[in-house]
Amino acid sequence: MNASTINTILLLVVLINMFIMGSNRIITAIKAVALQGIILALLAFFSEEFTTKGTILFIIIVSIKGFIIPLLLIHATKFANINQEMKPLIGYMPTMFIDALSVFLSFFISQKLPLLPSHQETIIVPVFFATLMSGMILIIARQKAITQVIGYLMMENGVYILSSMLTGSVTFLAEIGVLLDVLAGVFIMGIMLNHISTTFEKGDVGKLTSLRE
Amino acid sequence: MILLVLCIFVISLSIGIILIAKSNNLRAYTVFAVALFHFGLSIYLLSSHVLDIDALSKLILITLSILYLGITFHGIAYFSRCQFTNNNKIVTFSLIIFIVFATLMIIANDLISMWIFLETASLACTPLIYYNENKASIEATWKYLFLCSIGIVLALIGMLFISYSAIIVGASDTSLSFSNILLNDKTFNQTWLKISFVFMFIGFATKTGLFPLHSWKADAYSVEPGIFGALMAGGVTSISWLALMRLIQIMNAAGESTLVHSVLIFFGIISILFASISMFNQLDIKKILAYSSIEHMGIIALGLGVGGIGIFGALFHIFNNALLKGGIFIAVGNIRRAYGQKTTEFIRGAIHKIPISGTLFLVAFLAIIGTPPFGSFFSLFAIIQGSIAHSLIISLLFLLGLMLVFMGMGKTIFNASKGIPQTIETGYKDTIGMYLSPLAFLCIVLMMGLSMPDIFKKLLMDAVLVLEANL
Repeated sequence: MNASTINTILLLVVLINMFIMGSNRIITAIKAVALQGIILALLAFFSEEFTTKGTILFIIIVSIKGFIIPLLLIHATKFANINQEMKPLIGYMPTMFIDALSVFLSFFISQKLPLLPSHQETIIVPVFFATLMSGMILIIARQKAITQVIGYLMMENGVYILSSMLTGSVTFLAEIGVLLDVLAGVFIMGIMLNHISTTFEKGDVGKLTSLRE
Repeated sequence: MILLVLCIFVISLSIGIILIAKSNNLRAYTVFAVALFHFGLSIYLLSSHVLDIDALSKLILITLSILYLGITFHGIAYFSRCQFTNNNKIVTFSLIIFIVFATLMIIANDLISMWIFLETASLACTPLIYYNENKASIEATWKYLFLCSIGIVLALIGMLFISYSAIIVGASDTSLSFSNILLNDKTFNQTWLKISFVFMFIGFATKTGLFPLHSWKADAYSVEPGIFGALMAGGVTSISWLALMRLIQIMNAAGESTLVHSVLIFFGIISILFASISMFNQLDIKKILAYSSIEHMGIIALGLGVGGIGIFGALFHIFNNALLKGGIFIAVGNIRRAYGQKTTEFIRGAIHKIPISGTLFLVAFLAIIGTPPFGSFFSLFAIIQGSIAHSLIISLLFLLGLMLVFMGMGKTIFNASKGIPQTIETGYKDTIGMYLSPLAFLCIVLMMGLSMPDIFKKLLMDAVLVLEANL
């Protein structure tokens, strides 16, 4: 796969980041993160040579990131009866603007870093930084517990860009181990979401203020 | 090979018993049996060369094993006699998962598997914080789960950057095994190594709970039962320090020790000062202990940062801190059970109401602030010596912090121990199962102070050599 195709697909990943920043329904955001995970897995699969291990890994990643985690989260929102609205702390437009700034910043940072020639012509590194920062922005800018989980998954997608496309030194077992840890983490978070929304009103992290220093 | 089969057999048997057992007691005994097995296994691993583990891993392994043994012994009495006992199926299961993955993390020999095991071990602690199932525990659990997950993702990114720093200079071996990194990272790209240090330091410092990343600590320790607080303040922090010390080793080998040391000293000092200020007028005795834990993390960071004899002090202090925090958290748990409250508005005269736990609580406090002849006095003294040799201002700030801690922590703890107890009747009585573990922990620390066994001294010295290599 040549550099321009990779760049086009990576731009799609950045656009999904922006889309999540602007979306006001939780289920839409969960689906968008899942789509982002699938796109990245496809990209990694087609940019490398065809191997059996690679195929197995691809299938596992797509099934966990694309289906199991989003279904788990959607089920959690329905089960806990969480309102679909995002409840922004910072409005949708300002968040998108901050995200655009973060994209600009990540291109700026990547210019300064020493990179391999083959990585200089693609935008892998800036897209990694942009996805990481988008995840953090989402965690800060939204009030509900579930949006924090979505932000965490975005950061995880960013890590996947780094581990699969940039370094490629992570072994098969380690990749699966990392993935299973993420799955376990999201699973526990889903259970906690349920407890939060039954104890507090509508899974609102803003209400988690009784413990202070 | 036989050992591996035996371990898998014990683990699966214990998990099986926990899942099908009907009584809380049986499950508590199962966890204790696993702890005994783990203790035996650690002794065997320490004395033989079956696994190629270095002195740092050995030190943390034996610390964790002693602590876990004491805690699970206390667990037998706790789960049968405590008046608020919930069903303990999930927490005993988590305790087993925790010790399995913590041990794997200690013996891991490459960065990514270390990360995976550390993450699993810390996820296994989540049900422990949530044990009481009330509003406060939900909040504390969410904070812990979320901050630690985010922090540890950053640590993973740092690890991948190390791999990229090898790729970019065209190194033949880009795997993340310790032996490869320690041997070759002088030739790796220094810019990427520095970035990876920043990311990994933030990630692991979140788990140890150094100052700006500590916010989960006070909440988690104050809402969970004392027995689990003991495991987290003693065990989880120790294994996180192992991860941080691996990072220090890597950066030393790359010739970047000045950067690492100044960062450690800075975070150490601000953690100590922040904790000492937060302790003033704190009525919740468990929160006081959480701040004390942050302070001691700062002390260890300072000791590792100033170098020289400070490294010896810091390593010895990891051991002392684990056992003392274990002891005092269990004693506080007993006091809290005797009063049904955890603030000094209600807790007064603990020495009169429950003489043995109350006394242990006070003695453990004296050991924590570094009273001779406890081992913690010698470790603190070594760190002070190291910091005086390093720079005068740092040692003055450090002593100021220690003094403030003595005043702030002492006020609350003396208030809780002295005086005439209110007549609150909760039906709690001190039994030998409830106070034997803290007593044993204190005795071990005292013994380390009076005459350190040669074998332990050699272990500490070897660990110091590992950290000082390539300096």
